[in-house]
Amino acid sequence: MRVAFDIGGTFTDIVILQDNKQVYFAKVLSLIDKVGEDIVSSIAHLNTNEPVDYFVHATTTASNAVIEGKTPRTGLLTTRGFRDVLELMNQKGNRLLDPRWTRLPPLVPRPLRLEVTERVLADGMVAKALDFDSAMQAIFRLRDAAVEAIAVCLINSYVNPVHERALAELVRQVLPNCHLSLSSEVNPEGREYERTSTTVINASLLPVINHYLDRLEKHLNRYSTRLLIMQSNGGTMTSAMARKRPISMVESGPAAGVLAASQYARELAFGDVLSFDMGGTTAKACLILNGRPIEKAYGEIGGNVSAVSMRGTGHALRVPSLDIVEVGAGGGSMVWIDEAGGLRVGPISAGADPGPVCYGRGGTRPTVTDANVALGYMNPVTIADGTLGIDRNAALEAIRTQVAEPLKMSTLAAAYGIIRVANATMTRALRAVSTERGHDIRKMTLIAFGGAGPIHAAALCENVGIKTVLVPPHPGLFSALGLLLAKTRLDYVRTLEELLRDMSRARFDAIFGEMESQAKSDFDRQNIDGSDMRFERIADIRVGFMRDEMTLTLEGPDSTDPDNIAVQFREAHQREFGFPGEGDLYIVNTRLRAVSATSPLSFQGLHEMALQTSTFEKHTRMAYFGAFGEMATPVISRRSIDQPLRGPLIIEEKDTTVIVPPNWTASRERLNGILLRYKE
Amino acid sequence: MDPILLEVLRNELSSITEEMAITVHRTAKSPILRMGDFATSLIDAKGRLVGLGAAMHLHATMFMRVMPFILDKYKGAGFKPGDVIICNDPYAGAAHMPDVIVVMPVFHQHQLAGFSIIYSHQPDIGGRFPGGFSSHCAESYEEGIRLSNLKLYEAGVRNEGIVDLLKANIRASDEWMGDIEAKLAGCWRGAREFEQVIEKHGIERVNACFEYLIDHAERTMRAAIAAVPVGDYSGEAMLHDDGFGTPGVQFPIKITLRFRGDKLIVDFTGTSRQLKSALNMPYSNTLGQVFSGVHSVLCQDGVFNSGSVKPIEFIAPSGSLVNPEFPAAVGGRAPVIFLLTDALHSAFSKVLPERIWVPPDGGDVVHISGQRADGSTYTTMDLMWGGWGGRPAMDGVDGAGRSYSTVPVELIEREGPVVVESFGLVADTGGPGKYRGSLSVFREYRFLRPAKIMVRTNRPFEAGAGLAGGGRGGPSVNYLTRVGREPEVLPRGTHVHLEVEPGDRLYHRVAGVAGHGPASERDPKLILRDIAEGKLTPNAAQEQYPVSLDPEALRLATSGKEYC
Repeated sequence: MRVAFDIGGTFTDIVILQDNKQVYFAKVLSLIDKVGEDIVSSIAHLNTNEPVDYFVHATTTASNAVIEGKTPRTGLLTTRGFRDVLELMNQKGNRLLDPRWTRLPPLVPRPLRLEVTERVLADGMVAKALDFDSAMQAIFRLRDAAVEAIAVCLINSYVNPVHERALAELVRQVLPNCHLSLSSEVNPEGREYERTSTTVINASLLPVINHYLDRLEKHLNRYSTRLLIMQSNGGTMTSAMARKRPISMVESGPAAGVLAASQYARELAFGDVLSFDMGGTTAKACLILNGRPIEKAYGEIGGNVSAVSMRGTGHALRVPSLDIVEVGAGGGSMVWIDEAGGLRVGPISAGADPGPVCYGRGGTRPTVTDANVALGYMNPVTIADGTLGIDRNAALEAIRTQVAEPLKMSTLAAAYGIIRVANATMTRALRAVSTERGHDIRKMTLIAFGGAGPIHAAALCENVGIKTVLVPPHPGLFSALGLLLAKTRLDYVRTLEELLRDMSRARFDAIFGEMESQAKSDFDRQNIDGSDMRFERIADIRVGFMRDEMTLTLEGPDSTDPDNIAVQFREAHQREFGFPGEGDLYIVNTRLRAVSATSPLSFQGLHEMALQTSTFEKHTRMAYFGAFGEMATPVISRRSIDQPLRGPLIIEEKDTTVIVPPNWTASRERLNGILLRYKE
Repeated sequence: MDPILLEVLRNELSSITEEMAITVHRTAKSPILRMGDFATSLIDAKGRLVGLGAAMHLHATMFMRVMPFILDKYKGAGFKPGDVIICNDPYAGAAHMPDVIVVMPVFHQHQLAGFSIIYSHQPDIGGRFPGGFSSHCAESYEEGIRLSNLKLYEAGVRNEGIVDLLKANIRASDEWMGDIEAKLAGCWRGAREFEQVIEKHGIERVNACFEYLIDHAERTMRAAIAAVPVGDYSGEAMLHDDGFGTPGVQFPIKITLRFRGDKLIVDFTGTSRQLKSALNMPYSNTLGQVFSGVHSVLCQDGVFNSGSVKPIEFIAPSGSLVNPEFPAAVGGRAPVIFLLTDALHSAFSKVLPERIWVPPDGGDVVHISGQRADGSTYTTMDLMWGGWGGRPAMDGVDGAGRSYSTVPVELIEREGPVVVESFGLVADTGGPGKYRGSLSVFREYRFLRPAKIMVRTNRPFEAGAGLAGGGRGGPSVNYLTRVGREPEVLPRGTHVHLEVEPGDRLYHRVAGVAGHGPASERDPKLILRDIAEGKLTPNAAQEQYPVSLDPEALRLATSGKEYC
């Protein structure tokens, strides 16, 4: 038996695979005091003696702790002269000089950022030896302050970590029980602010995650001691690893859905796809090329949700992650009219409480969900498998008075306008992951999931010229399902900063070889079967002093030949920017991904287990489709689609609704997917 | 006007300008462009800015101002697909000459439908000094090559004559051309996406939305101006440098805001004549700083486009510091930008005291050029921000800039034989006030090999003035410590040139930023917090703040056991 659980802000989704032939789903409220208990009670509920092979888990614990400022008291040891690096955040400010703007408070307050006398230069040479007295003085200060964790980040330690290691020894002698992170281990890459911030986040999460896992495993251990955690990169790690590298699990939640989408696309042999996950407060998009999600090496946490990658003012976090772009548009996003008389949606969300007007729980401002109910898209009586009542009249009334009348439109046209505007916002997320990176979005298929994704998908695609949408089975629980498919993965990085032409094939092979033996020993130590381990060699390369590196995957027999790498780079640059890029090439970093080769489960396997979907009597209801007006629209179940059907259609499921507008057709594909196609 | 299309279109245009920005940013060669000194926008067929784009008001204004010059120059010849116009001429719409603008026309069914436009600060533009922004130039001719809206490409064919001329006259010209390529890639992408948007919605509906947005912006600005009591409100700031470091000089920048119903006249009468150095403001920057200030004070959340500026008129005497006559040099105008904003905020504070904040400050530069051990040359333009000043009901933000970031220390050390010994905030330098301003930011460099340095200090003589009774921040300082010698204070001046030898150290401190409101009214808890954080020493607290502090709380804050 395998048990997957995805703990979100409101709900915990549990998926249990029994006897390799039966899948059990549960959705329970996330109660932090009961973490773990709800999981084991779900297992007990199944009344089986089958042992649990392992648990696999996605969680927002790490990101919430940072975003809500709930990390424990943490100290920072740094090179003399640099204690303000963390606070100054590269001096980035607010572009439009908004007089109300203020910076995020630093994760370590100034009195706990202490300096030690030492200096290493950019070439690794020690210019000033580590001064023992200054080190001990700083460590004693942190001891007196009773910090729970210490981050160590010294200038140029990514080139030569000798002083960081010496400091670590001293810290361990004085404070053997204090959590400790070294920048040269957590993130050995250049640029001091980003490295410091990443190391501080890791250190401050160590107590949080260790405590969390202690509580969780206390319950889970009754069934199995093997707990895997979803990482931001879409692979899993053991809980033992998570206890050392909690930064790897900051984007744990959204990654699982993307992983499920990429596996689903692979099994159905769709080439390039976009995953689109829309929930209550945000919509998330990720580009999947040929079955592989696009990744990024840099990110941030705590800034505003934005499709705009350059405006970030969050804490820098350099950890390989799936390149997911999130925008503040979800079912709960509130509608308003701005000073230019334009209709706006989000980013403020009504959340689950009070929620949309139609939930009848005190919400008064219309939301995207209210518009979907008003238009007839969502069931006007109940949703969520009958657990939540809906008041369509209340939704209509709120839209009429707050949107339609001020804008002098009919109520339905106003509701339809709300959907168009929400879709325009989400379009920005889709563009940010595709066209902004030089990929033609129009040839791709959108994989839509999350509670609200399949309602919006077709109309959203018309906006950007996408002509096919795929809705997988159980779209509302798709992320939890993704956990069951995840492979183990570990990432490694070495900074080189050298001219590519000065490198040789032998040198590359030696560096990668060293990282590979490190990976093998890490797998061994975690008792992960390394026999099917696959290595991917990656190089970050830049032209001259260009700002950003481009990442190349090195494949094939001559993959580490510098000339070959140069050719590949020019081609990739041409594709992305329209010209090959002149000038010397520098190899910035080498990276290694170590991934177990086989997925523990496939959608094919799941499909053969005959996943249940609901059935009911076909009926019709009125739904409004813009220029087509209000139409009597058939309401059907997924199962009843046995031939291609023309829109308009409403496909109702337990956890979501699929809207097939006029001009679109729906058919059922392999693996129980619904394929929507646009007909001009 | 369709309110839904309006919002859809706004999202699409933002997305396009952002796409342009990402393209430029990622393909750029020079460090200065990498730090973010560039902007992207879209222009309609009439040459009007239709949205701010990924730009600040200052740069958006430059775009608004250059477009009429371009339309006028090519009104006969017209534009063809594949044309690219290039401009950096302060006397033809641009600002100081290193800011090079690239413009590409956009077509719909063979008709001109608009333009995509990008500027970036290029690392050089030829001329007497590397970088092209020293105050020590006396005439425009010394400042480099002037490009007055030339067609770099005509119908897709590059004018090789222009390219050869540029390459022969500009330092590190390969890197320079790389930045031009980056802007071309950005404009090209913007133009293509803009065409698709027009195709999708139809040119008439798109133009109708533009008209609406421009009219709306004008109406909003008129309403905001009309809400200010009719009257004349003046502010002044003083420049203490003639550009050559002559001691004891001063030149006023005077602004009178004349509110006349729904119209605002910005009158610079009383401002100094233009200078013989390069400290003059290119007129497009004068307009830009005023628009930026007026818009952010009066309608911060409103749209900004060509309509926003219609209700604002100017009286800026030709031949003055803020509207110089050719061939005045303008490259060193940065210090005047900050003084102009001081004067503007001071004028506004006379009528809207409860709303006006001390403007953000900084943007000092240490420009280093020299040779590495292997003989190759390097240039590092290090840029440091001051920080944000005191605001009504809020402290400033320590050491925060704008959208640009500073250069990472580890990057500076990798690029050239320079060691940054320290970088951070200086205690006791925040302008005192009920809401204090930012502390000074400093950096200290040690040079491993000989190098040529230019230090640009925006406020070499005194820090900016406070508002509502707030005090000035600590002054800027530059120390040079020659090997084996005592530190010497460098001569005061906005642009100081020097040469250094191995082992020499340079310390630069940006001025602290002023506070807002009387220091005597500061919350004692905030004073204690600053003491606990080491941002204020107890002695300075006593000097700067006539506020009595609880001795026990003070003892605790001073003990270093308070962790905020």
